[in-house]
Amino acid sequence: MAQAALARENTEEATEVALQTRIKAGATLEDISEMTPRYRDVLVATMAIAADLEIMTLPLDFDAITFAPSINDRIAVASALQDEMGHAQVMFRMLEDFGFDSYHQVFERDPKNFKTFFLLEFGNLSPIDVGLGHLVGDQAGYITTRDLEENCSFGPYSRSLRKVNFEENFHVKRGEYMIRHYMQQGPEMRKRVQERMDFWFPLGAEWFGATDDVKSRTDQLHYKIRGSTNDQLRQIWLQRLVPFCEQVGLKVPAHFDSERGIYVLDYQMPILLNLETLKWDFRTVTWPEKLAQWKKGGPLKLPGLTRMQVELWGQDLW
Amino acid sequence: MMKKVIDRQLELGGDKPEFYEVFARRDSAEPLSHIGSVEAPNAELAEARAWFVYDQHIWREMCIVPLSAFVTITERGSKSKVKVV
Amino acid sequence: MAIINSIEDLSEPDRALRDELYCIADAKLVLAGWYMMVLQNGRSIADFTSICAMMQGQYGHARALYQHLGRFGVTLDEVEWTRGAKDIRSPKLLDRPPQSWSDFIATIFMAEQAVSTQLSAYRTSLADRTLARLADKILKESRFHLSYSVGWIKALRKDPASTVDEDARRRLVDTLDWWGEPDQPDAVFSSGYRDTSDSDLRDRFLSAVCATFDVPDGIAVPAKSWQPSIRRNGRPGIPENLFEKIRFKNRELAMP
Ligand SMILES: [Fe+2]
Ligand SMILES: [Fe+2]
Repeated sequence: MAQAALARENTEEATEVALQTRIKAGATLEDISEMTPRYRDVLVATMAIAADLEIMTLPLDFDAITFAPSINDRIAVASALQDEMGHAQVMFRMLEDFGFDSYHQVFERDPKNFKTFFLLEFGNLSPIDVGLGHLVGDQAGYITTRDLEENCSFGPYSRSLRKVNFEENFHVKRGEYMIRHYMQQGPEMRKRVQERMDFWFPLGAEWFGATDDVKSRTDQLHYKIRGSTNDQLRQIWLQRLVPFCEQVGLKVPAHFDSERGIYVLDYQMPILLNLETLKWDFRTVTWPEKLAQWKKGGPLKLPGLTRMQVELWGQDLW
Repeated sequence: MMKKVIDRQLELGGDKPEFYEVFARRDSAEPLSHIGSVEAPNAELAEARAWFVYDQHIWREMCIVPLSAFVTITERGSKSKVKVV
Repeated sequence: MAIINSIEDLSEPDRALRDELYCIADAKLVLAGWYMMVLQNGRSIADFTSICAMMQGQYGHARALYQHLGRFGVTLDEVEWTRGAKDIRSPKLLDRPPQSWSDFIATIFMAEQAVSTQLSAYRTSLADRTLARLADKILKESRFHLSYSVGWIKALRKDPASTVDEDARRRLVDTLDWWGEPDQPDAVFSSGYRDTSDSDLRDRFLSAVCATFDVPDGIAVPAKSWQPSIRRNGRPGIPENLFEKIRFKNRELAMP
């Protein structure tokens, strides 16, 4: 008995080593049968989060569609949301092959159990937020999914991200276009944009998760599910966003450190958002404190996902 | 507020969702390629959903095939008959 | 064609054409608002995608028609901002909110079918080639909107308890309000802007509906106060609370 278990353990260990060697040599997996349970768990967790992030844009963009200022603007937001729902569809479809039931995942799962990010959990207040959401949020998302497309050792996932990234790039461009325009509309408007950027920027910076000194060499990197660390991805985001902001005249708490040759934040992560005032407190806290805030979530998460799971008709519509 | 109740037989076409695989090409030089998959209880709905979900290009040609119609060759015994993309 | 700034300057047929195109464009505007309001009631992720796409389709068509109306002095400023609920000329069909998913599907089927039917009579217009091309383009793009509703109707009917046929019957009566009484004066047709009369279009619409639903004989609407300029009976305009939901907001933040 004990010997059989030992033998099984040995074969598992051997397949694990074989898989890691293959991946290190640049092999791409095409099928579930090629995976070890550990690889599979890491991959599925990554894809499940990606799927939840996409679906969370439904409540987020819905308000933006309704308060849009013109036919053109309404079309633009609806088009971005259509893309996001297309991404969600592809992600959940892929998870079906791993035994997930997407109807259960989307319509029956407790909203508390959706793994969305803090950045997506606050309602948009005006079209300025739509522009900043694209500029800050879609940019962060795009950098994450570009890395997955380029590096992911699971072929189907990498391929599915081609369409996703093709479209995300448009969202970022739209954000740049909107913010550049608003910043040319006089001091009053510039002030409005700056106020909202003060809110958005730290959300974008923490999209990439904990800093590498806390969390590095994760299994995701080990299995080449993704290629870059949190800090590396955050650096790409800063490289794109900070010069743009300087160009249009938006102040952000980050700058280029010419000695180190990289962009750095003017504050030390993690920091907390005051959920009453929606202002950031730039004093550094501990990661467990930050994780607790993320876990609690923003004000849009539960009502937004609950709305997606219920139907409203008749007088509840208008 | 009424919770959405999805009737699987009706809306999915069975206990398990019914998938249609989507093929398209952009121009006459491009091969017809598998671009993705949609789920629908019938062909009309599948057609509309395929058209709306995969609208990243203006397709010259697009068609859908029920997943159940596929005969696998290299993927015999694999969990997914056709990869999502 | 010269740009005309005042409705009084228009000839009788041009004024009738302007009214009718306004009605069609507003039908699309309000229908787009329907898709917007119902979006989160979608029953699959692909529904969310599809409804977003159909919303954009309808807004895009409405915008193109309003732009075409520019030659009759209509401005986007008027279309998007200076009008109120009472100025919107959409069909009565779209006043009452959907009562269920099945009612929603039945209504969009009727609305898409009705608007496409009316536009089909502009495809051959020699008097206005731009309009003819626009009508043709809109019709082609609307094809998938119809497959969407037909697919859903088919799925819903598998349930013996489904109310979709009843919903459709109720909504059909409201849809027919769009054509008023048969054989009334029809300036757009007699002037040659449209190649089919309103009466014939009403029949064309009914036979298209017949392919999907049973249409009871002798279905008619009392057309006592039907006005061609708004294509409906009774008072002009849409419910205030519907208008409040679908109107545009934050004007100072509109993108150029
Ligand atoms: Fe996305
Ligand atoms: Fe996006």
